[in-house]
Amino acid sequence: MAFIDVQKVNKIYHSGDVEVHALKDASFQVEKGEICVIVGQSGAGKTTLLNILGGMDTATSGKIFLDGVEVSAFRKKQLAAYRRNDIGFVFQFYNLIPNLTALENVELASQLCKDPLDPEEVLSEVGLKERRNNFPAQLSGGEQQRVAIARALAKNPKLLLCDEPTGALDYQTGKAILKLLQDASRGSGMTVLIITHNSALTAMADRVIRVKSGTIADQRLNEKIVPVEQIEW
Amino acid sequence: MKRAFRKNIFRTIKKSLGRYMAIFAIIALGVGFFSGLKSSKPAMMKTGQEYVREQNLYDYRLISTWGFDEDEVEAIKALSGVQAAEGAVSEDFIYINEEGVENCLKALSITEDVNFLTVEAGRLPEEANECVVDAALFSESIIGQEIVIASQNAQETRDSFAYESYTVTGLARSPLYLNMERGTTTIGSGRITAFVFIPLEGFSYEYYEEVYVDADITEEAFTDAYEEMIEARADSLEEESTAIVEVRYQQEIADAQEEIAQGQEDLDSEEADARQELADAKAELEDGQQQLADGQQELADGEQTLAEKKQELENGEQELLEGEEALTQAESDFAAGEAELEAAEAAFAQEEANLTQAEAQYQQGLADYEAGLLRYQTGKDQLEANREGYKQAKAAMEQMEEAGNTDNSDYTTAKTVVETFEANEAELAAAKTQLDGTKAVLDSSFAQLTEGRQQLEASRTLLAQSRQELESNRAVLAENRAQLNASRAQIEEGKSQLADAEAELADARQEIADSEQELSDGWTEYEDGLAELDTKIADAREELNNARQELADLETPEVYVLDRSTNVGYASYEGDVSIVEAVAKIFPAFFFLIAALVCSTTMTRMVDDERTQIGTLRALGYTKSAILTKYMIYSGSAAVFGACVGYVLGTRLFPLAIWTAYGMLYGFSDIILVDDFLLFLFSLLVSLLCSVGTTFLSCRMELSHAPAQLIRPKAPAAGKRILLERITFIWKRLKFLHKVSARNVFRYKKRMFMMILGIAGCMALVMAGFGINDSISNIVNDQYDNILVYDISATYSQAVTEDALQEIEEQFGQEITHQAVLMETSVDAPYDGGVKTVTLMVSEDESIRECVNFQLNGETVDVPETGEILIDKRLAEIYGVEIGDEIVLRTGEVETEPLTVAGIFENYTYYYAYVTAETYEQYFGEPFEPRTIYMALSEDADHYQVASYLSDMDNASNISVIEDMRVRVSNTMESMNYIVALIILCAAALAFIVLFNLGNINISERIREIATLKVLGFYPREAGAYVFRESMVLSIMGIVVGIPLGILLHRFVMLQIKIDMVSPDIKILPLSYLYSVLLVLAFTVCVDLIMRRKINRINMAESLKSIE
Repeated sequence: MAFIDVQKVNKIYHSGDVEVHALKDASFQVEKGEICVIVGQSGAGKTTLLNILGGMDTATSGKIFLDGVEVSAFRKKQLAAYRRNDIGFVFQFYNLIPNLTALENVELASQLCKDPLDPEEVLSEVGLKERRNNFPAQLSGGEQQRVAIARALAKNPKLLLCDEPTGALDYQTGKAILKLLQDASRGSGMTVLIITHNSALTAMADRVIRVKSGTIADQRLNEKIVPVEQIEW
Repeated sequence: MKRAFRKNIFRTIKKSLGRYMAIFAIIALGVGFFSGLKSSKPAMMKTGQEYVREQNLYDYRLISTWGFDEDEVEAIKALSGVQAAEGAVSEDFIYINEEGVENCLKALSITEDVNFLTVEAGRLPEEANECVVDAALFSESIIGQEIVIASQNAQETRDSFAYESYTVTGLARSPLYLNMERGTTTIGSGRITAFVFIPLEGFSYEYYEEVYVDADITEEAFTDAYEEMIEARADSLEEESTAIVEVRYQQEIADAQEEIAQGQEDLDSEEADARQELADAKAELEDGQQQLADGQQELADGEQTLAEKKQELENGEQELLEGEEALTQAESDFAAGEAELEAAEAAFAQEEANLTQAEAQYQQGLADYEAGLLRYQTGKDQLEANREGYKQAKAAMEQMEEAGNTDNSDYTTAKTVVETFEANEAELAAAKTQLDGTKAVLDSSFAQLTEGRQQLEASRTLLAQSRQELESNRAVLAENRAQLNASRAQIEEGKSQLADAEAELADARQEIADSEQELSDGWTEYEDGLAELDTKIADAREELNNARQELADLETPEVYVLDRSTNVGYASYEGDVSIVEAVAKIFPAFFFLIAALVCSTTMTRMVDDERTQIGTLRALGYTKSAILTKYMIYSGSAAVFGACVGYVLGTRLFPLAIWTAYGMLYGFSDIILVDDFLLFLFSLLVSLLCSVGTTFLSCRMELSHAPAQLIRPKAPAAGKRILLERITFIWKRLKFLHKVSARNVFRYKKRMFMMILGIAGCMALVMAGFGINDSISNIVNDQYDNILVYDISATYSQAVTEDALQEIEEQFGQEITHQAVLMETSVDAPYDGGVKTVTLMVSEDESIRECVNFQLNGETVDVPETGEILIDKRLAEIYGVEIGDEIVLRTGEVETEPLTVAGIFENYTYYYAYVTAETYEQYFGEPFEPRTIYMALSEDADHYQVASYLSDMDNASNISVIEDMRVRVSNTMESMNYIVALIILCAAALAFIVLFNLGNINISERIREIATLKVLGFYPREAGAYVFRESMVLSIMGIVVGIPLGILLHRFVMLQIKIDMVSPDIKILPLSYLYSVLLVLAFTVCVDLIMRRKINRINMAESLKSIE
């Protein structure tokens, strides 16, 4: 069985009388250590997929396995533990705690899980050793996202989920962030799932999954992986 | 206003109902508290006024030194300004209730036109021997029973009642007694426990004691205007009514003078008669005296004669005695002579016989001699005849002798013949000698005999002569004896005659003595009669003089006009009611401050939330004022609703709760609620100031930014290092998440401030609430464990005797640990604002100190000297006196001389004072009569058993077990619980509003942060803790700030709250601190729990959204 195995997942939202079928029989697999890019239009269902994979939401039907464990069978509490120990999150808007310094934001995560990495080291790795005692408001967007990535990495998760990590960043900074993610995956063999509407990013992925109107339109392995530095968009 | 704009406002309200409700609630709470407390006094005042008016309480009470009669009452009624006037009488009496406890009741006559009674149960009396009783003391079960005027009452008291018992027809309240104070009396325990109303005919009276006047006064009771009107009219009323009573005075003086004159006349004539009668009696007595003297003279004469005769008789008797004595002597001499003679005759006969015998003996002797002589002759002849033979024998013998032939029979025969012859010869010679001697003797005898015979014959002659003489003497003696006996008979007769005369004389003497006695009795009688008459006359004269003096001294009648201020209930009411107003001063200000803070933070948050919308509206062209209006309408409408609801609820619930609390003291009718438009307007204005004012301030700041700036999201408040981080040794030790919370706490200063203030306020309120409870409920324990340490107070109707004490000692020596004998009496303490009833303890020794602790702040107060008094702290506060000042007390209507305050002691319930027996007698003018025993019992003693024994003893009038008193006071205290509950309820409401509002703001502001944490894998508990650790820290800070605030608030409230019966000791128990803290934390936790659910509902997807 693959590291991530999504089997016929459906997600239906009820809002009042309206039913929204956000995911229809979505199935795909991702192997361990891969960088997987999920790409699709706004409203295609990528965020729903990410929510379900990240344990932030549950599927209406279908099964999801991570490392052989059935995540879709988890109860609320188990989901929280799952998020806590197995998942790292990188948000589009960083979502740093404004009242904590860069280092403390990393610590906030690392102190949660069972087998964390050293926050200072992780922060050095993302190149923010010097700024570790700055508050988010004192950091630039790229720096804030680095802190966010460091926070996710420090948990030493099985799976790193990134939601439009470059969405709020300029081109150069975005590239630097993607490089960081790629390096993290390559360096520690971490499985990274990046969600984006930007197809250009597919070039850096080991595996590309296209989502369209709630269904998996295409799922393929990238034959020709391009280093991040060479990607243009 | 544009329709769309209006719609926008409505939608906003609907969308943020919680926020709207927060403003509404805090304003409602503030206004409710304020208007409730503010309107309580007017409501209570109004209730009092209505009651007093409806029951037509008197305006003036006239008391005359002369009383009033029917006509005078009518005359008073006719005075101008008098609507009604009615005479009344009253009498205090002792009543023994069903349990046998002695009570002092006050019987009053029912008045028809003033002081209407309210019948609580049953009906008013219809017959003169019926009554209605105090609804405050008696329960309905008394209806139908009899109130008996106990036999313990003085005759005077019993005489004032027309009947001995009165049937109870109902329970009633009287406006004369607004509160529970029933006043003091001079009988029994001194404290009146209840009133009894009896129809006027039920009393036996000569004059009315007092007249109740209902004046034409339009002003409401308890107001200054009323008092002014009353005072203005009082002087003239006094003059006029005095003039009315004076008419009777003049009449009475005239009557009395006439009576005295008549009396003098009667006295004079009576005296003359009596004196004449006495003079007659005296003359009669003097006659008798003369007669007696005559009789006495006669008696004396008779006695003289008798004495002479007696003397004569005695002489004769003496003579007789002497004669008899001589005769007897002679007789005895005669007898002696006779005896002598007879002896001589006998001796003579003897001698004669002797002589005859001697002569016979002589004849005999002579015969014998002559016979002897004859025999001698014969012998001699025979011898001569034998001589020859002899001579031969002799010679033969001599031959033989010579031959020596002696051994032959011839010799022996010869020898015998010789020897016989020789012997016969010797014998014959001897006989011859003897015969010769006898012859001589016979011869002398013969001579003697002859002489004797001669002598004898001479004696015979002599004897015969003597006998003859004797016989002649005998005859003489016999004759003398006969003569003597005759004289003796004569004397005996004389004696008998004398005895008769003596008896006669004794009778006469007795007669004299009797008449003497009679006469002396007569004199005594006369003297007595005279003395009696004198006394009688003197008395009568004195009486007349007294009457004259009395008439001269007769005081002109005086009428005193008293107004309602002398009525204890009325006078206390106003003061007691004002307490609430003082409390109303501080609480509401505090609530409004919180309200302003709540509004401010809420509206700031709201403006922040709608920042982009504001920017958009501005960009669309709405003016600043239009936008401002929206928020002002938002908060303003919430405030107006809140003010309305708060006002309505507050002005109803508060007076009701407070009236219920006061019900113990003044339960005369239901509370009348008062609506005060000005109060409402003021509340509304303050509410608007708190809401709209703060809204304006917070909006204006936002609106001062340019629209372009507003459209962009506001940068979140930057993280900051806090002071604590610089104290590294603490900071390093903190857990990571705690550090975060610590930093968060100080992130929003205004909110922190509001939170701390809100919680502090809540804490202060709760503490004040508990504190009030502590201060009051502990009074009971302090009072009865530390001050009045005795367990039983036994009062008897007479002074306690040594025997009784002995009996108690024998019975309960084991149980009783301390004991004091004293006098306990009630006195009035008049002061500026009214009158207080004080229990005065009087004792001779210091044993009372073992039963009552006189101490202040832990120091013992010394025993007072004569003229000094110890009073309790409460009384000292009311009088405003300190040690060394002077106070005046009152018993009934009599005031004492000023007493010096020697000491002040702690006491919480009722009022107590202590003086020595000496002071009491000197300053109160009544005898010291120790009728009460205080007893402290050991812990395991059965108080009720002791009490029941004591009440069975003679003269027991009132045995009270302190345990009962404790319960009674506790019950009164319980009324305070309403107020405490009300305060705690308000505190809870305050805490909820503040915490809820803050929690709400906190969460909505940090919804993204919380969502992120959840995505990071925080468990719900952790996520909740992340937020609520903050509110907990803030709560604790609030509590810390709240404690001193609470102490201050409690002190302030306690200074205002002073119930008449008790004065609280201002204190908060440690346990109450604990409870307060726990309660506030419980409020915090409670709100947290509600908020947690809200956090749990936060969707994690929020974290993915872009910032608006």
